Amino acid sequence: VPFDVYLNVAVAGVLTGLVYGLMALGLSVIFGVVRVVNFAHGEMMSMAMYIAVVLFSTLHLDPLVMLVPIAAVMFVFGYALQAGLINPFITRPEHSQFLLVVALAIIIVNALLIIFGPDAQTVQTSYAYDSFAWGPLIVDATKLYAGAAAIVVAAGLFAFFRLSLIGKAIRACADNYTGALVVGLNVNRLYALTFGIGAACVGAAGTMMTLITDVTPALGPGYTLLAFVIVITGGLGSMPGALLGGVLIGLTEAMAGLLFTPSAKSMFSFAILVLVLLLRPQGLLGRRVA
Amino acid sequence: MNAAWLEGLSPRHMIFLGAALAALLIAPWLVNDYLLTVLIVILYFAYTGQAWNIMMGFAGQLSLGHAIYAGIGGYVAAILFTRYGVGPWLGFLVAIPVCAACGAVIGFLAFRFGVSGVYFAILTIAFAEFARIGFDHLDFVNASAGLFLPVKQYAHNDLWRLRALESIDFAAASALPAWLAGRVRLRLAEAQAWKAFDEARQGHDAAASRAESAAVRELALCDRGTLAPEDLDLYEESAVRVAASRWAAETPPKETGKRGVALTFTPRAPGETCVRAVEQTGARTGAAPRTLAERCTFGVVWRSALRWAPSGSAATLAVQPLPAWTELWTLRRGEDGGWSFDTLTAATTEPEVGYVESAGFSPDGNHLLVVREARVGGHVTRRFQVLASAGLSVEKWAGSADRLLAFKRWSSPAWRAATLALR
Repeated sequence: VPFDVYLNVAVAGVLTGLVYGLMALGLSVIFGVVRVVNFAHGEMMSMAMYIAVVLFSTLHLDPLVMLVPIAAVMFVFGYALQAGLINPFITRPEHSQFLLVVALAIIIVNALLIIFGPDAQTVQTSYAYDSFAWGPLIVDATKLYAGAAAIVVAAGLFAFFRLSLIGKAIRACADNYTGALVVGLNVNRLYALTFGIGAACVGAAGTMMTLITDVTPALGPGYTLLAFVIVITGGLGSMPGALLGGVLIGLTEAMAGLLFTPSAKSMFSFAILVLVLLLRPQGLLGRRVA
Repeated sequence: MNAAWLEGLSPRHMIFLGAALAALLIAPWLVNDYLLTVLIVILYFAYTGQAWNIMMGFAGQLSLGHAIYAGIGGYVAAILFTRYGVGPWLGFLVAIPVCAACGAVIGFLAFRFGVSGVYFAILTIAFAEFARIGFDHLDFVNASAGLFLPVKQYAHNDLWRLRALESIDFAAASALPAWLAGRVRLRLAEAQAWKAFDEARQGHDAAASRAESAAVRELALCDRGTLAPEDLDLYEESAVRVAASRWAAETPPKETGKRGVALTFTPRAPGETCVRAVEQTGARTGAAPRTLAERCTFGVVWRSALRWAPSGSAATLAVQPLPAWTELWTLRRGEDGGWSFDTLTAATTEPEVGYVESAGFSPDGNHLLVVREARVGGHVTRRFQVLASAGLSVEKWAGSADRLLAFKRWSSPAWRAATLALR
């Protein structure tokens, strides 16, 4: 295999990995602050993907244009979910929270199955087969747009958490739950806000993912696991870690698909997860939690 | 009765549990196979749940990858059985330590490095998914195709299939679309032809004859014009299967010899038949008849297929070693006056579905007319051939009997009336 094939596959893997990273960012934000393991993350992503597909097939709205509106819809969904359903479970043991979210995931998958059927659906944009060439490097236009949009959204999120007052308040909640209560923060509202932001991240990632891959209701569980692999690899609660983990996993899967067989690619992500969990449980960029 | 696990049970619970245990113990003698299967699955699930309970209920560790141990245990037992012939009752003695070792390694790694809570749950998923995808690509365990238990009781299966097909009432099922009725008739014909062979092998000639007549009838009732296009190959194949055992429905000829040479059929080992060409002249004098040639087989020897050339220098006989596979034995007198048996097969590759039958001889016995039909590469091919009796080499052949003058002139009326090759 000539070298430029490796180069092209690696670049495509990194760009897909950026979208993975954005999806995982949502999970990282939710777990880092709310401390609830969102086992419905991939299912929420397939929800966003179906919204993008329906908007495209009925109104011919480009997914890149609908990025912000769909993220907003998912924000509302996440906010309502946390405020209505998960907040009462915050003080319950971990496994009952877990069962609640898993039940939600099963409901989402089957609702999508009832509404849209099991067949794969796709978004056929006018630039679906365009590509850019720089010397030996050939990059799919859709992957480039999706990767760039993922970087922009992630940068916006970093800025929000670093610079805005609400972002600081959310980080305060994450650092010290009791302390946040003591200084008078409305923790339940901030939790709902955080879940909403996480859902918006995954909504944006899902919208871009429709440019790269087909959507079926069965995608959900796979993406949930993928998000966990990425977040734990990068470091739970670390936002740059999620992006780094996404790029690493995207690259690994692309190279594994090239060197071995595409159907075995997620085996290598799980191998990375096992190694990270055993050798560096806090993740690549995470801090050791006592 | 004060074992630790019975503590905290009220007498009423004890009575209920005892009754349930008694019911389960006598169930195998009372319920049918289906209910028994359901009960076994219920107990299996309860058992698997109990295995998980040890982790979560007793140790408080959320394991979401418990399926890995069930999977590894299943693979170990299946590989031992399919590859090494070790039955599951012994296999589980191997599977248990292997699974326990896997669990010990995963547990050691997890707890040695202090992985707990959600991380532990995700670690177990990671191991399980890693194993699942890995086994999906492992050629040693047949990758994604998986391992299947070999079926030993083919005859049992085919009888079961025949019974299911026979229960279809064509007259009542007028709602059955024609193409589907046709397909069912073809399957029925195949199953009956199989039964004819099976009965004949057991020496039940009358039953074999009935089954083969039914097979021919079903094939005749199937209207090829109404079949679905994808079933046309099936029609050809069914016809070959029926034709392979068609001799079951025919009556053996009275005379087994010609011009001083006769064929005798004698059993030897169980299931074995020896065909001998013997001299008839010596019989009257009381001396043992001289054997000119002999050949034995464990296949079904169809005596009804015995045909002598008018000249008496050659004969043909059908021998069926397998369901749907019939060969033609030829008995010929050579240049030196010695007699010998030879076998003509339907095809040299894929000996599964096919037959050869004799359509007649030239009056001088120098030429032999045969039909060969076989499924090769998924399609049935049919060849009408004129063979030289001397070397059994093909002199002329055609896909249709009309194209060969020899078939028009020499093929026997009995063959033309009964064969399925002119369908």
